[in-house]
Amino acid sequence: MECRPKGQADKPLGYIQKLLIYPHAVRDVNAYYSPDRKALLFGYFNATPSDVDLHMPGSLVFSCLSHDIIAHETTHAILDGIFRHYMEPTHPDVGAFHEGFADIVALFQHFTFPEAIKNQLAKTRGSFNAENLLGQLAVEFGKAYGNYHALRDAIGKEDEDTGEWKPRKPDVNTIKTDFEPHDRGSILVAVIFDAFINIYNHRTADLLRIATNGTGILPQGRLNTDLVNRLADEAAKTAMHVLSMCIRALDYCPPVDINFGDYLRALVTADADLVKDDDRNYRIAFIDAFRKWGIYPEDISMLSEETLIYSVDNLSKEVSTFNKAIGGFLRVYKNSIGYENDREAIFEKTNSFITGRQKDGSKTKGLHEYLFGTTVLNKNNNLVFEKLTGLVFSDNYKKMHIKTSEAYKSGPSLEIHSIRLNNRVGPDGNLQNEAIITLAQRCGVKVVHDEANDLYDIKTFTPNGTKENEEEGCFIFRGGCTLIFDLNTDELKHVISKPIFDTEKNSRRRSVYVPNNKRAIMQYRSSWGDYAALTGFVKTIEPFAHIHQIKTDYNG
Amino acid sequence: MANIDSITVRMYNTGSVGDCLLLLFKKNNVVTFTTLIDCGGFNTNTQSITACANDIRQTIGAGNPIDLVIVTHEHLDHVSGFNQAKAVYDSIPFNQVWMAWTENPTDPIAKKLKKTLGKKLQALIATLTEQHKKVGARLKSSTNTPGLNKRLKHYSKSWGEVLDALHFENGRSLQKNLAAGLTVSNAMVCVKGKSIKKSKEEMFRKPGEVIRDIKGAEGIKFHILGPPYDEDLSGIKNKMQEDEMYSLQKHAAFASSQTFLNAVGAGSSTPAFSKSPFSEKYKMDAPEEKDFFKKYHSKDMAWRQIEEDWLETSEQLAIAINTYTNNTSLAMAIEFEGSGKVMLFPADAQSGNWISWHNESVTSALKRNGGKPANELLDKTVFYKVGHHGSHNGTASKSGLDKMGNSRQLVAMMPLVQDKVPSQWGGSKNFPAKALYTELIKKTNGAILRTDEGLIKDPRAKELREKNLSALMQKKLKAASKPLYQEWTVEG
Repeated sequence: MECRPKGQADKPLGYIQKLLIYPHAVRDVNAYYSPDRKALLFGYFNATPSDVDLHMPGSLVFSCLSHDIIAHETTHAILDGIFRHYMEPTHPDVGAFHEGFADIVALFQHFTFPEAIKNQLAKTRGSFNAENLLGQLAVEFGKAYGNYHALRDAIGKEDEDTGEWKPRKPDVNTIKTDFEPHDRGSILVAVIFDAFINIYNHRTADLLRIATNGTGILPQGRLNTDLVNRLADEAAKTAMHVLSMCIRALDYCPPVDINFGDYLRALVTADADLVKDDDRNYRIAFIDAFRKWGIYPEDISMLSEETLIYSVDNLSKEVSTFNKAIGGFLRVYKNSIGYENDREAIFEKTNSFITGRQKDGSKTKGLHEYLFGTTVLNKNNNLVFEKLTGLVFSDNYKKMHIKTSEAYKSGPSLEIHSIRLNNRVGPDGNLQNEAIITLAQRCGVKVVHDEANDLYDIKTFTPNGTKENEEEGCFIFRGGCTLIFDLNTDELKHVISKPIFDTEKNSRRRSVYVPNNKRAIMQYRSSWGDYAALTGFVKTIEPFAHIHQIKTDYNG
Repeated sequence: MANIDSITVRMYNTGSVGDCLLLLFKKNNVVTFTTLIDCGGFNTNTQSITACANDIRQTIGAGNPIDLVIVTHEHLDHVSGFNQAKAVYDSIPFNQVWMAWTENPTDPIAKKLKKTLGKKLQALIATLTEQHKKVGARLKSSTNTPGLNKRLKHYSKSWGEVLDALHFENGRSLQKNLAAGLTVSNAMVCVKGKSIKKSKEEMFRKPGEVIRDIKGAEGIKFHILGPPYDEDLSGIKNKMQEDEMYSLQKHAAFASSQTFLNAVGAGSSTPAFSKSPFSEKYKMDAPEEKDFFKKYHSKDMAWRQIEEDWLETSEQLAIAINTYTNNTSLAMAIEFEGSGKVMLFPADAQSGNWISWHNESVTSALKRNGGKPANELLDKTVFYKVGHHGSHNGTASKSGLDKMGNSRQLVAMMPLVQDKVPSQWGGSKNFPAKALYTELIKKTNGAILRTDEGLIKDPRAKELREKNLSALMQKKLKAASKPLYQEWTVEG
């Protein structure tokens, strides 16, 4: 887990062993993860239900006793530990991803309780399309605070006027209109849950046919207990698969500026890597669910499994040179920490491998030097890699106001966020043996929006600690990429890039280095412009301090 | 007897954000009835507001009384003038005073509300003041732990603003050199005392009342629309009506803060809400406690402490209290009986108050008393005093603006001095609220008079005026701006 205080992202805080948990931190309808303190703060409050039969009025409600809330907040902490830049308002999806992912983990935890699944499936007669507790989050909390139903619901919602539960149907407009992180996050939750329901239905269709003499139409009355048990097994298995897919996909996410489209690509790529033959159509179910909500990745020519998978041309001269140079290093790294169980030792050793600084003060060749030492990432011959990663390795970095590396006194400053190892066994017994490297680069960007003509003027500057935080339209602009290297074949398998510069404008003939237009404008809109009121939450001292929205603004 | 055939509204510039409106009711161009709605400015200077009071005295004629004085709600920016220009007002008799039922000292609901709110405010201010000092001290002494100083600075600034907001609610002026410590509630008492008519029924108004044909104002109906009585003040229906207090507090977001309020000594006295929510048996014993706090207070832990987090609730409470008081605004529609034209004065009513105008109980009471329901009044509105200085929640959309100006030309007056908007309201950039302003410009064809700009300068408004308004109307609007006030006459 990388741990650095906010606003000092480049000064490592060192290894922090434990997440700190304050179960009774605040007297409020609230619970939150504090990224600055690596701590969870849970609140408690007196219930104010809308009806006396929903909850005992005035009784104390402790958020630290809610399985859902604990899972949600802990997921925030873990996600922040892996991706510390996922709290920056670079895109409306970023904060929404944090919220949505935290809810997804909390939701699928429900399926680890077999009795609960059986109980609910018996009630809904085997279907997940009716109101059920498995799809709801923080039921007690919601009712105690004055809702008629749970705080959040993946498959339905409370009608604002009548308080009645209604199923939620896929709506392609919400992605264009809902920018508040919880609302937008709930879209992602609905998408994933929809994929889950589809897979579950697919997996249980034969069971239902067997139980109904081939008709698939259930008789009236209670379901056969054996059938409920089998359906529950399938639901639990499906939930575990779906959750694993969602978690596995994190390794395939960019280190900065994630959007829902990126996440779909990560889901599909990760699954295709591990499960060659998608005989149960899991990937199709996911692609389909995203499509139903109008979520498409950028920069793909058509929507198919093949185009969604991130790919690299390993036959190119530059990539194969890179593979040769870096493969050896990564194997040494793997041998060094592959059998290490102590988290702190892994952290320290990984740091040494990145920086080349050993604990005893001696100096070895670190990943940074390896990268710049290879014949591809040197001053002259790097255009292919710059395009691939979206980061600047050549001396052109000065044009972008990217700082010179402090450690090496020459060349562009490049943050190596992490090296991680990935070992998995697939369903066919195939062994996955990968190293994942995440890189990031930054510069200051100032955007001036000419509202009358809807034009954006984008300029770079060298961040100085104040300008980027205070001046209107200014922010730290980050590019980043995730490199996935297959240690079995010594090949660079996937590159997931969020380019810092406009790779389209640049070519061998024209050496143009300007910030990535699309991303810079989106970050401006999210942190200063029209989205900022809803997405700029991240600028506050406790970005996660609202698991509920107090409805003070009724606009009659 | 002849009826009133025109009403002239003067919106005074009190030197800051604030309401001060003088209404001159005329028959054949002769003033036969006068009404003053509020007189205040947020932290304004005595000189500016005294100039307004002097002009009011001169307009009605020295020695003459004001026929009707309305104080809409207990906020500094609506009543400070009665303190600051006390000397002037001492020489003006008030024939009759109207306030909302929430100011009635003998009304049981109002009494309860006042008492609990006052208690909460006092306790909140006391706790926050103390903690604010502590943070200041901690900030000075704290070692340079990464993150901690930033956090403390944040709290210091944010709580300072919350304290300012709470003091505002408590009626204390933030400017120290002002009128000998007179508070907003002093002003309220003073105005009440000045009323020549003493009847409480006639002073404290409830929604659904229709007051017509007052001597000198024949042909005019005053419709009282808010604040809602016998119901949740924020206007949101609540099923738990058996306990009014409970529901009244609930939607002002007080109830869920009950646990917090207990901690600052402002909670209810029910034993179940005692200070600590935990049973004695869970308490740490002395050595355990010592051990725990030794660790917690160690230097290594400084950056992870949670000393201040619990007080962050006070910011939400301050907003809730502010909304609550704004919702006690006496909202009123003045109707010309003959033409049916309506002038709307919602004071600072926020959405909840607006919504309640349409409640069945209010609608039937208005009809019973010879008036019209809110829907019809809004439809016939030709003059609108923009609610809450143009804030994002001072004008309701569905239950308000959407229904206005659809059949008749609407003129709006907005009591706003943009560069004087207090920082705790979100500062100048949030006033007027962008979405509201856009809608309002459309609805009025740009006919908006603002305290600071006069006829508004917004290019969209200018374009609409030139396109859709008659030359005479444009001329009249341009002539509305006077050094001390904006003036607009509605022909009945």
